[in-house]
This record gives sequence, C-alpha cells and structure tokens, in this order.
Amino acid sequence: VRTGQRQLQRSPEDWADFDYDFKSSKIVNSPHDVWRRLQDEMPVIYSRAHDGYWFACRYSEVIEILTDWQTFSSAQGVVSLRGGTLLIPQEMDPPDHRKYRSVLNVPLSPKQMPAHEGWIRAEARKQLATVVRSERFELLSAFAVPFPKIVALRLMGFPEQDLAELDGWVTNSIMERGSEAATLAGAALYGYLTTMLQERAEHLPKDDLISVVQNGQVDGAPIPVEDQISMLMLLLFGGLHTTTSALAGAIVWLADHPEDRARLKAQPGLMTTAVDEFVRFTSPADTLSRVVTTDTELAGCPIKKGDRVMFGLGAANRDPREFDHPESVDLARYPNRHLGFGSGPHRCVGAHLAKLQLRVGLEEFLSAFPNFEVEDHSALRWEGGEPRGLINVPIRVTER
Amino acid sequence: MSTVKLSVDPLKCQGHGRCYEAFPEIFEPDEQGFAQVKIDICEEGTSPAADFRAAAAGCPERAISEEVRCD
Repeated sequence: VRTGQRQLQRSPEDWADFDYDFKSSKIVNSPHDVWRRLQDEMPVIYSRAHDGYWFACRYSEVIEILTDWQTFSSAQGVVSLRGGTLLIPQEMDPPDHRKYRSVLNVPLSPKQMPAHEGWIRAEARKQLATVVRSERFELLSAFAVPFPKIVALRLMGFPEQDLAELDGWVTNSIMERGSEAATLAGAALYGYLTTMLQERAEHLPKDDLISVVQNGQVDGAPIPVEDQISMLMLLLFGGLHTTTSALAGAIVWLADHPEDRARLKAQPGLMTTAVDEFVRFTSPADTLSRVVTTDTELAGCPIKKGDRVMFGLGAANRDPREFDHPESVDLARYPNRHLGFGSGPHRCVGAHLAKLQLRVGLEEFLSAFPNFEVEDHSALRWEGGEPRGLINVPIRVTER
Repeated sequence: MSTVKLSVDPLKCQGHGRCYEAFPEIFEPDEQGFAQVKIDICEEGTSPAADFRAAAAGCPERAISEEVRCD
C-alpha cells in the first residue's frame, strides 16, 4: 500500500459548507480554479448567499438553461440584487420577447454594421490620439471605457452634451445595484429618458436607435412609453461596460503575448475568429440567472418551482468538456461555440455591434502601439461578479 | 453520386453569425441577422460540403443540419 498518495477527487460532502458567492473577492478576482473544481465535482450546487440560489457552471447545463426558456424563465429578472424595472426584452419570455426583440434586431443586424465602421474607426483614432505620444497610460480611462461608451451612446442617438451624465447614472445603477445610489441613479435616468422621449415625439424621427424604439410596433400597435424606456435602459446597461471589459481583457492578453500581436499583424484576417475568442476568454457577462417555472432536474439535481438558478457563462466558456485548452487564447479557434453572448432566444442583441467595436478597437490600438506591456501586473484590478471585468490596467509602450 | 442538402433551422437559429462570418460563401444573414443558406444543395466530397459540416460543428444552437441523398 502506497502511503502519502493525495486524493485529488473530492466528494459532494466536501462542498456541504461551501456557499458559492459570485460577488466574493475570490470569484471576482480569480474564479477559474473554483469553477473547474465545481465542474468536475458539483456542476450544480446550492448556495445560501444572497437569499439563496443554485449555481450551474458546466457548458452542457448552461446551454440547457439558456435554450429551455419554458423551464428557466427570464420574466422575473436575470440578474440578482436589482429591484424595480424589468428590462425589455431581456427580462421577458417568448412569445412577447420575440415581438420586442424583432424591433431591435434590424438596426443591430450584421447587415447594418458596415455603414457604421467608418465613424467608429474615426472615434477609436480620436480616443487613441490623446495618448498616442505617451509612454505610459491607464488603458481603461484612456481608451477601453470612453471608446465603446461614445460609440454606443452616439449610435443610440443621445446628444453629445448628455453623454457624461448618462454614463454616471448607468455606472451607478449597475455597479451598485440595490444601493441607495443605484436607486437614485435609476430614477434620474428614468426621468431623463421620459423627458427626452416626450421631446422627440414632437419632431421627425432620426436615423438612430432611439427613433427605432420610439417608432417600433408590437402587435401592430406603438410600443408604450414605459416599455420604450425599459428597452433603452437595457441598451444602456448591456452595451457599455461589457464591451469595455472584453477590449481591456484582449489588450492585456496581447500585452502579455507578443507572438499573438505578431500573428495578428501578419494575418489581419485572423481578427474575425480572434474577436470571438476574446469574448469567450473574457466573458464580460459572467453570470446570469433564471427562475424555474416548474419542478425540474438539472444534471440530476432536483430543483423546485420558484427557485433561482444562476449560471456561469464565464465558467462554461472555460469548460474543458467543450473547449480544448480553455485557459488559452487561440486566435484561430474554430469551432468556437462560446456563450459569451449567451445563447437561445436572449442571445445578446448587440453582439454584432460589440464585435465590430472590438475588431476596430483592437486594429487601431495595435496600429497605434505595435509593442506594449502591462507595466505592473499587481496593479490589475477586477470588478464583478455578474458583469465581470478589469478596471485598472497600466500600460507601458515599449517601442514604436 | 450523392448530394448533400443544406439548411439552417429557422426555429433554432438565434443569429450568432458564426456560420456566415466563417463561411460567407455558403451562409448569409437575413435582415434581422438570422442565418440562411446561399447554396442549398451540393455534391458530396466538395468543399462546400466540408465547410457546411464545419459550420454545423461551430453553431452554438445546433441549428445547421444536412441531409445526404443518393440519387
């Protein structure tokens, strides 16, 4: 008998006292070892944190939850800790979901994207011009935050002079959800949108997303104003911080991997698969949830009607059962059935815009800075846990 | 000679676009971004047949299917 042999495989009992908390500093900063162990040992686990929820982290169960919308409903909210307005169409089930979603699908479809590439590229250059001669800069404040924000707000049709105020409300509403600051910011945003829609209703429609929402029809009737506001809030919440996180995460990877910078330079056509791969790798929409409409089973685990099920898109996107070498970025990865934009009827409506912004943003960044590094990895900071991403990245330009 | 009939299931497709980005000669987006085939039939052993199978393997919704017919 060999002694001293370590038993690596743990049993479900070992997890009995473990309450998975997606907002804990461990999961926000360094979740991957926990996710991998849960995938192997407890793919569906109950947590008493935040009023209690199930957490599913394997690709197979996550895609099952996303696809089976009858059992796993979005209509009672898909993020925890948020009171108030449900966002349309994200927090709605088919068939109503599809009616609202169709209004947004057309202006955000891939066919519309080529028309936006030119001005989006000009915006990327304008942002980068502020730091192009710098030897060091902080990536988020210099580029990864303002670039996607200005693109999204301008595409939606908000006036330039309102962008800073809007951004403040959105940041406070989603990052401090449930707090008094979030409630106040949410109320201020709601009031602003109400006034803006009233004012715009008196004028001719413009060529922007606000007008698409304002003039959209559901069941042959105009969309009620409160639903229009809900749709605009969803576009604001969904499109700003997520693109920032993917862009920042991609640039950190490229800082650490000069060989991948060289590959992208030599083969610019790789950018199409690279962008999806960076979305998989960074998974900015890290965790979402559903509420179960009927007693069911998930990976053999009985779940009761009314229970909340959280699931890890970020965890599923690192599941070795689906992805070879999931911890590495493979710029040419294909097939890449990642769930970074979700799956099923609620697949991210802004995915094609996000991918355009990521491609253009990375192309312009690499063109402005062929060689760069993270100046100090110990300064990297993360924020989480439902949307999860880097919030501080010091970059040093190494040579021109 | 066998032929392969290619199709995208419109009830399953959610418009990820991974097929039409990777294989634009076979797939294209409709007005809402859902995928549709540009070629609906090809001969077994040709590159469209191989690309179609690669696209099927890359579809998160498993919306791409083929039917092989022997004529």
